[in-house]
Amino acid sequence: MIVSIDKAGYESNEPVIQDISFDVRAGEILGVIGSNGAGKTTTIACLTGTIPWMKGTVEMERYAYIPEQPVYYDYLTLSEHIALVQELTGVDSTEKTEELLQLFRLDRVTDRYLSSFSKGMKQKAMILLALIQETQILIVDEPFIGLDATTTIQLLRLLETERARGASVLLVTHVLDTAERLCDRFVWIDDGQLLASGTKAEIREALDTEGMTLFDMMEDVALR
Amino acid sequence: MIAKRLFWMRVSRYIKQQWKTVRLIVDWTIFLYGVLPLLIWAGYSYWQVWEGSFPWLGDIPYFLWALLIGWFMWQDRMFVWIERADLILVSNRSMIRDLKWYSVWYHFTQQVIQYGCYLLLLAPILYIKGRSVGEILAFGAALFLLAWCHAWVQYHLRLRHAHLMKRFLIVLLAFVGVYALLIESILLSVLIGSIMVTFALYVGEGWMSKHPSVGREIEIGERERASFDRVLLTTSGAIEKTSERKRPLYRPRPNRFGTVRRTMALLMYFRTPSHRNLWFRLIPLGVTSVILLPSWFKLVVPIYLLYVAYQEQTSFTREMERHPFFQSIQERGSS
Repeated sequence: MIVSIDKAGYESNEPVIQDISFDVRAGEILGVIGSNGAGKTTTIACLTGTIPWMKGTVEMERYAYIPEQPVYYDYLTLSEHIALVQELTGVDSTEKTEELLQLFRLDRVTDRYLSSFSKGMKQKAMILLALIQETQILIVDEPFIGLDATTTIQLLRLLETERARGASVLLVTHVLDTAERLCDRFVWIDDGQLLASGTKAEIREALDTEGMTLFDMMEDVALR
Repeated sequence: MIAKRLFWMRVSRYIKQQWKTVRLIVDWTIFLYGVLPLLIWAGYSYWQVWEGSFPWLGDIPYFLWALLIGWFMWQDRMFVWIERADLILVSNRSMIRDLKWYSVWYHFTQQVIQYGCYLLLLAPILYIKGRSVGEILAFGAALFLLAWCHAWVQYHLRLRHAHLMKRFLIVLLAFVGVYALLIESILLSVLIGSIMVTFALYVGEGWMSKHPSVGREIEIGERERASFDRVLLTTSGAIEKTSERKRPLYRPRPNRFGTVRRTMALLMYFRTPSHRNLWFRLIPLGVTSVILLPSWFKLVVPIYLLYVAYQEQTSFTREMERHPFFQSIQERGSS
């Protein structure tokens, strides 16, 4: 068990997340799904420490995070970002870095500031900076926004490679068909609460939605 | 080591940014006609205070001085030099701790300089009132400790979204502390000092090692770092002041002191940076000239200023009359 969350919750003026419990096992891709405003990103924000858990317990090993919106230092170039990440993590990932730089076609812009990149390039840089850390947990929040088709396919392959390496991926997305194809298990958050969790078959059984795809299940639940 | 590098990078970038903003507002004419005469006048007056030329300063009750220092304390804002990227790019807790440590040092140094200046300003008054140099220095040290505790407690209360009254209570406590120091009441000073130190220790417990509110700390830091630019740029009229009012700025509330049109014209005139900057230059220039010119020649200055004002009013009225918004008002008024 790499991530363990037990009855955790966060409240601002009104409860945003209530009593959420799930765990992430080694070498699996766990999809965190739910409609807009369900509390997916808040859950991740609590996991990464941007906002605190008000109750419950959260245990997690060292992680790398690909945020929905690129977050970077305005005053550092891409190569300086890479050097900083390598220095902080202590991981020598020169070979992997070169490989990813070429894959994402960022090898010619390493001396440029990230603020001068396009949105897609920034997102690629975020993916690169997370992957070179070679952590046991990778948290990916809505990764397909702003990426072209080629990069999306590349990212999906990279996530599968991470799984094959034995790392766990926590994938937050509302692109359900991709999630269905990629994820081993799911955590379905609805209105700040855990609606269902488990494999697709287990969720179908729990929600009494036999033979439905995730998309249809979500529609069905919304109409109830 | 990385944290130190990042910290210095941020501080130097922040200072450069502030300098750029200042240069944007204050060009050499404002410096020559505004800042420089003001500095000379302030320096000369300060020297005169030491010479005892303003004995009435010694008659100002301590209560008012304490109130002034209390107001300065209320303005103190502590923040940490942590950015979102520190938390998101690499989850390195020790770096966050180091950055917090450097931020505390930054604030400490800033406070030493700030309260050193306040003490320099207050020293001649305390001297007039018969305090020795040693006593003045002791007062300065105690004042700094009180201010530091106050800023620290305020920051932690702000982190916890404490109620404004709770925060105000701490200022009140600090104010009583300053007053006690000024009137040399040892018992009250020690009591207030002890309470503030206890509060500071209580609210700050575990802050350096645990980071439960780091998101909020980043938010506060971002806001505080941007506040200098925002205040300077909006005050100078370089950018429009952000307002929470729904009513657009060009359409002020009708009032009983004049016609809507006249109020609007005045507001529009002074909210245009070029017009406002003209008066920012002319007024200090006028004041300096009145001081420097001998005898009746001084009269030339207000006459000249009135002439400029008349010219400005004529040209602005003409400009406004051509504006489609005012044309529509006039049409509506006549129908």
